[in-house]
Amino acid sequence: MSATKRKGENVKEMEGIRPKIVAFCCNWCAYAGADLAGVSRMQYPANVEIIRTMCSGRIDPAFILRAFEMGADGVLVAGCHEADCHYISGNQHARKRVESTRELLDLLGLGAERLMLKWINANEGGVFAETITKFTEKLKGMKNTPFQNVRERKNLSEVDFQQLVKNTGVYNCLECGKCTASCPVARRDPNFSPRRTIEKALENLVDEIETDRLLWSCLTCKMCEQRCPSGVQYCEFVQGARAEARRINQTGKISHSGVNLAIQRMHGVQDLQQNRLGIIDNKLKVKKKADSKEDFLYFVGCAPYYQILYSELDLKVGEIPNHTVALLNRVGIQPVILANERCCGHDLLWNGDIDSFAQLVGMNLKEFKKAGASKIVTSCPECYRTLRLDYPKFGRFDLEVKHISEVLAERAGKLKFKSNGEKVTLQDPCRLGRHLGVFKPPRDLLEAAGAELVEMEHHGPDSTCCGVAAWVNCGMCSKSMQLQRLREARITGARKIITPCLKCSIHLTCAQTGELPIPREEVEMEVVDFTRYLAEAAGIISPNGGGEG
Amino acid sequence: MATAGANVLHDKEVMVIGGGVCGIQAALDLADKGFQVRMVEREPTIGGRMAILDKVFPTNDCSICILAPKMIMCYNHPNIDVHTYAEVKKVEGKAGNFNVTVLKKPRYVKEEDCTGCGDCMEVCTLKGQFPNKWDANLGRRGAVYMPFLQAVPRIAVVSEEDCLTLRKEKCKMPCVRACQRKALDFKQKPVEIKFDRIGAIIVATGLEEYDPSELSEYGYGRFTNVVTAMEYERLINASGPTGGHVHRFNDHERPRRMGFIQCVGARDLRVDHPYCCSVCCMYATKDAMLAREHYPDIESYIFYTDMRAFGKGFDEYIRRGREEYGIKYIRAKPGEVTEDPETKNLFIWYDDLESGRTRSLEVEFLVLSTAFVPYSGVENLAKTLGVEVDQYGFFKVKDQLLWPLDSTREGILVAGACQNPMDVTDAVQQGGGAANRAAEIIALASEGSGEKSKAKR
Repeated sequence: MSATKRKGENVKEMEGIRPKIVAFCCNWCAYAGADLAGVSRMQYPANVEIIRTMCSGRIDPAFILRAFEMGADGVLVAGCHEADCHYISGNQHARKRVESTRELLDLLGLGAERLMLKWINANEGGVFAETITKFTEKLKGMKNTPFQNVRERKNLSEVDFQQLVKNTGVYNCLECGKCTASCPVARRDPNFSPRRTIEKALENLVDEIETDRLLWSCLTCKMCEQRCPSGVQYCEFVQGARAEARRINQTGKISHSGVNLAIQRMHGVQDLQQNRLGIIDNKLKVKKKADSKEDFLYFVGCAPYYQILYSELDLKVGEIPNHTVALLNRVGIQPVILANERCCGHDLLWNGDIDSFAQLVGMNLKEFKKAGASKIVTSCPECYRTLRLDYPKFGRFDLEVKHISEVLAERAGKLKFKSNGEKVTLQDPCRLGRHLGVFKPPRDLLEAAGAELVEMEHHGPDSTCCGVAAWVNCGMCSKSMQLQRLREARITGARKIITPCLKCSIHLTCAQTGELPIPREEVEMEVVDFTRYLAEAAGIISPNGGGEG
Repeated sequence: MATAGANVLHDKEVMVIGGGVCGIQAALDLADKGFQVRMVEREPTIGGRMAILDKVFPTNDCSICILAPKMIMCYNHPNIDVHTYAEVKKVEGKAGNFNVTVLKKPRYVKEEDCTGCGDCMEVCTLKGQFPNKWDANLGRRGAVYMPFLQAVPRIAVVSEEDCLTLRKEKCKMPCVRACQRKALDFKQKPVEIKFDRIGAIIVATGLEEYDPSELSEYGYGRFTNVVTAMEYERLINASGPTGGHVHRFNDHERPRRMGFIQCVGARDLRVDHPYCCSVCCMYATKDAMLAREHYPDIESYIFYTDMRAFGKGFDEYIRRGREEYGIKYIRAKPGEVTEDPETKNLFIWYDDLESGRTRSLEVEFLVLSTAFVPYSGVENLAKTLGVEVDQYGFFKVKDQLLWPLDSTREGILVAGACQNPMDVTDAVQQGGGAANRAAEIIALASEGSGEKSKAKR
C-alpha cells in the first residue's frame, strides 16, 4: 500500500472493499514502520487507508468517529512505543483518548474492538504488516458497520427566507437596539449585533447574513428575545438562517472537533443498535412499554455519552439518568425507557443540519409510538426544548413533555427530603428558563430540599448563559462569560452552583480548569447537577456519590 | 358643598365620575350651562394626577397654580355637588334617565365641621409612619392626613387601614383632643346616596402609572437610585417631600448626571402595552429642563425609541431642550441597567447607533418614563356602568373617528386618559367636549319623551 497517493484517491479505489480499515500513523514511528513494510515488499491486506499525523496524540475521538461515519469498519491508531514519543507524552494522551473512544464505540453498539491501539517503531515493518493482517481477519468475523459513508453534508432542504422573516416577527423591529444592548456576546465582541442582522434581513440581504461568520456566534440564549419590546424571535430566526447557511456550506467553529455532532449524526443511521441497556442501574424500576396514558417515558438524552467524553471534569454526568429514575421511583413513577432512543438532535438543529435532525425526529417518533407513550419527562433542558418546541415543526407530535423539575415539584411531598440548610445558588439554563419559562419548579424543589437559595445578580429571566450552545464557537467570549458567571455566583456567598443542564455543568466546570486570568478564589465554585443535588437531599445517594438504592 | 337648585335650569342632572382636570372641566362647563352636576371622586381630594405634577409642558407653567383655582371653582360652584371619597355602586335606567347609587366611604371626620387646620395630623400617634401615595410614596403621613397641601376640599381623612383606633388597637386619641371643632367621628359608617335624575354620565377616571418592577432589566425596586417619572415629579416639586431638591437615596447628594429611559412598559409587547403613551417624550424633556433650572451644571441624557413630539410647539420644545438646556438625546432602548455596588451609580447599557457598539453610560440618577395604564379597579367600574373596556383596560368608544367621546352604552361618555393616554390639553378638550355631548343627550332624551326642560318653559 503506497502512502504517497493523494488523500481521497485510495478511498475511491477501496469503495466496496470491506472490511475497511483507517490507520492513523504518527510521523516518526508508525508511519515509518508502515513505509518500511512497503519498501520491504511485505504482504498485508490492501483494505487499509493510512493517514499520517505528526503525533498519535493529535488523534481526536472526533477523527476516529468520522472514520467510522465515512464507512470504516475498523480504526487503528499507531504511534511510538511508550517513552519513545518525539513530543514526550503525546502517545500517553493517545492511549487515554483511545480508551475513552473505545467506550464510546461500545455505547454506540459498534464494539470497542473495532478500535485498535498499537505502538509500532520505525524498524517494525513486520509488526505493521502483521497488525493489519490480524485486524482484518478479526473484522472479517464481525458484521459490517451500518454506516455507508455518511458525509457531513450540507442541507438539501431549502428554507424559505421570506417566510422565515415573516414567521419570526422580524418586520416588527423598531431598530431600537435593545437586543444588541442586552446581548452578552455583543458586549464582548463589538462586531456582533442582533440588531444589524435583523436590519439586513429587512433589507433582504440574505447572502450577507448566510456568509457572515457571526451568524454562528449567537448563543441562542434568548436574552435578546426576553428584552425585545416588539416580539422579534431572533433565536428562531437564527435557527432558520443557519439551516439556509448550511445549504451553501457555511458553518461555525465547531468545538471538540465535532465529536458530539458526529455521534448525533450516527444516531440518525437506521441500523445502529446502541448498547443502552446498561445505562440505568438494574435496582431501579423501569419498564419497556407504557401501560396507561398516565405513564411517563423518560427521555434519557446524551448524558451517558458526555460521561465518557468529559470524564476528565469528574462531573459524573453519567449518573444523571440514574438519579432521575431514582427520584421518579421515589414519587411513585416507574418510567418507560427506550432501548433504542436516539439523540433528540438539538445540536444538529442549531448547527443548521436540519436534514439529519429530521431523520432523528422520525426515528424517535416511531419509538415513542411503539412504546405507547403519551407523556415524556426529560432531565435535559435541551431535550425538553427540542421535543416540546421543535419536534412539532418536523412531525406529528402530540405528546405532553415535562421537565423533571416540573414533575417532581408537583409531587415534592413524596420526596421526603432531609433538610440541610446549605447555601446554594442556581444557574437557570437558557433552554429551560427563557425558552420555556420554567423558573419556579427548580426553586420550589430546592426550597423543599431545605437548601438556602441565594440568587445571583442575573437570575431567572435575566440569567446569563453558560457561554456555549450546540457545541459551536467556544472561544474567548465563552470563557469571559463563564468566569463572569462564576464570579457572580461566588459573590452570593454560596460555594455550590446547581444547574439542571449538563452542558452548563460541563462549561462552568471546564472554565475553572487550567490557568485562569483572574485569581482562582474569585471564581471557584462546585458545580452540581440538579438531579444529583435532589437525590442527595432525598437520601437516595450519599454525598460522596455512593448509591443507596 | 353647594346645595342643589340655585342656578339650575334643567330637570336632568349630569354625573361626572372622576375629579381630575378632565372631570373638573366637564363639570364646570355643564354647571355654567345651568345643569346640576354630581361629581363622584374616589379619592379624598379632587385634582387627580395634574395636582401632583410640578410643571406642565410645553409652557413649563406651574401645574398646581393653574389647577388649584379650577379645583376650588369646581368645589364651590353652586351647581356642582362634589362627593369625594365616594364610588359609584349601581347604575340603572337608560340614557336621559339614570338612577345611580353612590357609596360614600367614611372619612371619620365631619366634613361640615373640619376646617383643615391640620391640628389632628400634628398630634397623630402614628405621624409620619406611612408612605403618602400622593407623594409617590416618597413623603410620609400619619393615620389622619390630608393628601397634599392644596387638597380640595381641605378636610382631613382618617385611614381605615392605618388608624390604631379603627384597627381596634390601643390609642390615646390625641387627635380628638386636639380638634377644637370636635370634627373627628370614629362612628361614621359608609353612606349610600341615590341620584334619580341623572340624564347622562361622564366617566373621567384618568390614568395610573405603570409599575416597572417586573421589567427587571432596569432595576427599578432593586437599585437605589432608579425612580419613575412620577417619583421624580414629586422630588423636583417645591411642595413635594424634599422641597424641590432632587437627591440620591444613598448619600443624599444631588446628582450631576442623570439618565432618562423612555417607553418603559410602553410600546412593549411583553407587558401587553403596544401603545405609545404620547406624552413621555415631552415630559422627559420637561423633567430634564427642570433639573437644569434647579442645577445649572447638571447633565441629562434621554434614551428614546422614536422622538414623538407631535403638534404645535412640541418639536420646538425638544429643540429648546437640546439647544438651551443642553439635553442629550440618544436614540436607543437600553438593554440593561447595572449598579455599581459601592457608589450606587448606574450603568446604562445601550447599542450606540453612531459607533455601532454596545456602550455603557454612567449616571448618578435614573428616571424611568413609565407607561400610562388605566386606573386600577377600572374593570369593576366598567361592569357597574355596563360599558366595555378594550384589551388594555381603557374604556372603549363607540367610534374612534366620529364618536370619540361616547362609550359603548348610550348616555355614558368617556373622556380623558381613561379612554386613551393623553396630555393635559387633550384631557381638558375632551372634558369640554363630553360636557356638550352630555347636554345634547339630555336634550334629545327629553324631546323624545315629550318632557320639557325648564329652559324651554
